[in-house]
Amino acid sequence: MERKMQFTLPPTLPEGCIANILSFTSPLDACRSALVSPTFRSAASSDVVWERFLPPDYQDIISRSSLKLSSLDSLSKKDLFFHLCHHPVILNNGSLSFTLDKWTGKKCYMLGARELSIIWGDTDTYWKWLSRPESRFSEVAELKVVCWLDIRGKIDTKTLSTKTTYAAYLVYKFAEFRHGFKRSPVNVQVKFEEEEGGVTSRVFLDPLFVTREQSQHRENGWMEIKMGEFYNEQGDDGTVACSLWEVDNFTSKHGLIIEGIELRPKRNL
Amino acid sequence: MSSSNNSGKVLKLKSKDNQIFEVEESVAIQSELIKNVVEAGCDIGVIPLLTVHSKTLRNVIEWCQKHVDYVEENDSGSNEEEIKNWESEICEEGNNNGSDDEETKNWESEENNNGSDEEEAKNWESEGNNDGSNKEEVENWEWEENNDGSDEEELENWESKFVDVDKDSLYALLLAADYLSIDSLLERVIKQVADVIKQCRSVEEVRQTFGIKSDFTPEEEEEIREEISWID
Repeated sequence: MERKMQFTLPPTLPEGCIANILSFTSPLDACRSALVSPTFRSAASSDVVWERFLPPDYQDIISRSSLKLSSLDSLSKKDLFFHLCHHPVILNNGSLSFTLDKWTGKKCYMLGARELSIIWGDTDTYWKWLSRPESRFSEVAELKVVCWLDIRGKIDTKTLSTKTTYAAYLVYKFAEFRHGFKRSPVNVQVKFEEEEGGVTSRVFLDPLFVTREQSQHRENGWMEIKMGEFYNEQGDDGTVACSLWEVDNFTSKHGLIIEGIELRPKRNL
Repeated sequence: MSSSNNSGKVLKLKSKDNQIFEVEESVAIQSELIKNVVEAGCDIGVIPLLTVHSKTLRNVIEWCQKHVDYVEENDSGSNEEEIKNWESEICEEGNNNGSDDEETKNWESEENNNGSDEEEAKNWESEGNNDGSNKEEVENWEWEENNDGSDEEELENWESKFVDVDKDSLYALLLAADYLSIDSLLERVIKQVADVIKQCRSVEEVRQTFGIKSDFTPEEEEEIREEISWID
């Protein structure tokens, strides 16, 4: 079979030019275009492309990692990109994690339980803190018993990617014995701290039957449920507050295990 | 194809299909390639651009002209110099007895000779020769130019229209901008081409759009599909 390359207009486009073009698309488009032709495949893997997909402050973030990550220095930009998508960088002494969203290259953060404000969290009677191997963080919080459930996570919008709609998810699971979540929903809200108002939703963490706002399974046996979303324009909207509370029904609650609250770009499917 | 009245050198550029374009040096040196040729100092009669068709070259020159004009209009540093040049030009015109009077007379006779026209002509004449009102105009112009924040937006809109062309023309612009090394054009066209790729719904569509035939063996293609299997 004759292998001939055909172009509508000679001469061919140089690989450097193709790489430049691909760098203005998205990680998804760049990967797909590897199938177009050998030149595209080569261009799609070049550092020019993936350097642009990495967030501008990625080096600074990596340098703040709790672990020494010098092995990352030898990776190509593309390999580094995918490494950051699948291997959370742990910051703040084990209570905050950073990853990249592989479809867009935008920043994702997860606030570990220790980063959150959990009312009564420091009181032994109500909450206990343990290490779980299936968690990326050094500690997770397990609810022994409370009536007053109030959990808040905050993050500065300037650390997030600009021009992005973010969604916040509570990442959790249940201990063997759980109580107080089957019939009672909890309140969730995500809003800019400095703004008035804000939309509150009610969701079931442990529903009896399928509801519209369903919790989804994640890796390592965790579940997640959406708390809300917001649009980060320039990163100058101050702090975003993600809150979950159930303080009204005087039902005692047990057995909720919190890994943290994750913020990641909303995927438009 | 020049609009400004700079007394700059004019270069001759020859397209692939042997058409000659006369272009002011300030416009042509937006191309690094041409700039290098000029700076090399050789006295070249005509610069041959072997891979650029006249249709594309015409558009490229338009791009370069627009950007030279934009810089001139918005370069606040050179405003004062420009004003001085403009002022002295007006004064020259004003002092050039023959041409102004003649012009006024010709203009007058062209228009219907009624009262208002004559008045207008007189006002124009006096404006042209009156240093005082020139300065006012200059000040107004200066204020206008420095306070018009939407110039950048206007340029962006112009650029977007410029690259909103059929794919063959876009491809030709891309190759020309790359060959001639015109950064501003290359960057804008690259972004446009990137948008075209983003809108392609399949690899085959990208190939068709750019007239590329895949050169992969079935095994190679399978290998790549494996690599990108994470994409839905």
